[in-house]
Amino acid sequence: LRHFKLGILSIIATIVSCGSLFAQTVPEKADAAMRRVFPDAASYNLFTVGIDSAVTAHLYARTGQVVRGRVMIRQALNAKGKPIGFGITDDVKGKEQPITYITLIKPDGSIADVEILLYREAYGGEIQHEGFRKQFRGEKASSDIRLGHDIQSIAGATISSRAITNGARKLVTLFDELHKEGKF
Amino acid sequence: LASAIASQARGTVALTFVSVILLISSLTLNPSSSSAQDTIPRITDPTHIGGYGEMVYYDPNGTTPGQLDLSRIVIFLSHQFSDRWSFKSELETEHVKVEVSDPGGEFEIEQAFLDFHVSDALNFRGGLYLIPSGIINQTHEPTTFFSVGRPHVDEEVIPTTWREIGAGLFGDLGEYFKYQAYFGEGLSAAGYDETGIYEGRQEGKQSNPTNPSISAKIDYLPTPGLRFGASIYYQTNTASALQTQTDSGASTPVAFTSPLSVIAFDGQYDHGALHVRGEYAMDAIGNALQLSATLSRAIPSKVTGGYLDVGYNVIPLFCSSSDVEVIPFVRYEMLQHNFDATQGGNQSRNYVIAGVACRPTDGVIIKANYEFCSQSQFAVNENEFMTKGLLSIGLGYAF
Repeated sequence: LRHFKLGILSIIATIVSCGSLFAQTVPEKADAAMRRVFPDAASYNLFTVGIDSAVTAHLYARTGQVVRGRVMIRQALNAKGKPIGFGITDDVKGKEQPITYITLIKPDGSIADVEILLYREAYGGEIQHEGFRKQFRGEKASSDIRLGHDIQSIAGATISSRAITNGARKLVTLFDELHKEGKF
Repeated sequence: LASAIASQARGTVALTFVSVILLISSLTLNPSSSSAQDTIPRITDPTHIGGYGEMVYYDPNGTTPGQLDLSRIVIFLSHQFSDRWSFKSELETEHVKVEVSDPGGEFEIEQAFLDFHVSDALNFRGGLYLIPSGIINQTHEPTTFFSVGRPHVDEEVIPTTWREIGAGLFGDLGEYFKYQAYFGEGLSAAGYDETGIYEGRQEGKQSNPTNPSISAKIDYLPTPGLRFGASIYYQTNTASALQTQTDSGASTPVAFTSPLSVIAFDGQYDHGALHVRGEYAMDAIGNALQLSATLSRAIPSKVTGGYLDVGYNVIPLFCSSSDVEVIPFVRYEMLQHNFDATQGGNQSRNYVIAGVACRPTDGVIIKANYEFCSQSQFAVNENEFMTKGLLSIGLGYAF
């Protein structure tokens, strides 16, 4: 029985050590998401864009959500230096804690993917699963990105499903507004 | 034998505890965590306050007077120490106030635990945690279910809110499965009564951990809108604290054991306007007749129950751009208490509940329902009425 206990403990020790070795920080995970979704890029960079009051007002009118200050945008570039993909990171409030995520957007303004970078809630981490995330691919600022409409909720995880759905709508609309302003 | 198992279990718990502490310490020495520096309007405050509450009006059929109550007002307090470490708690006041001269109200810590995140597949939790059993025990905000009161199953079979001090693991098993597994303080049969195990909860209050419980749940999510859960709770002996009087008048520990198993299954389906959910649970109480004799009250040997809810949001039929939800729903629920033949045999109740739940905005719910019970003798419970019919109206919020 003692050997059995030691066996179990060494299995736990192995899992824990592996988990910690592969754990990445949020910026590292965001970079990894860009490489995964836009693997053909020749280079990747990061730049900031100031949000002026007109963009804030338009975004509020279209989504009921507010973004102010500066946005940091990840960009995937081809060999000629032309952008082939963008990534915006953000936090939305879950039941109790912020959920950190990245929305990856193609130059045509459609969502390439939504990835959860850090989930801190006690329950409901299922929004990280592929079955939920794939619903966002191809959605645009003009689509009906709302829970129960274009996006189906995860049974038993409505609060975080709604949070990330509203977040993705906010960022894809922000991208659209910044694009109209000719920021990139 | 029981004490040998108990001491064995204690040894295992202690050894596991020490090892986990050592592992966590070694990980914390080399943390890879850091906050993202590059996000837009980031919610930077690591401390968060939230809450939920329910205000209800019950109007029983007949001459029994109605009742108004703030059933519960709960404050969440949580803190994120780092990307790996977090604390979460719920402080609850039931029935408005707590006063020595006026029993009924409760002020209690409903949850308080530390989480240590290793990866999506592995997280540790230690503290006062919620037993993973059915749907409502871990997710009980009033905005998440349609009826004014919680289902009866989540009181008499799964003693919601069921919490214990202990520790465990949880995480994802691949894309489609989630798991949770805990060791906890266990129940004490000293509190059991005619309704079953509800009053056997120790709730982390100077609890006796002689016979720890194990609990585990697996959730299966084949597609986003569909979820199935299966859970088990097992304790080798809930009667270790019970005493009997010998002929000479001295008290000695009872000579029997009372193992407990609680098995629960749940399912949820959400698609567009349609919402379906159900739970089934069973408590199997060992040596119920001997418990009844020791406690001088009838203890059921088995308590089972289940329900099925169907709700449909009708607003999209009229206005597809609206985010308001108005959800008429029906529920069928059954409960059965199995007593020994000498104690009256089996007692079963069936309920039909119909009503409407309205969510005018995220986090707010207004509900009304009428409940019909097949038996006029409801369980002995402060919130229930000796009647066949009951109108309930409720306001709930969660933020």
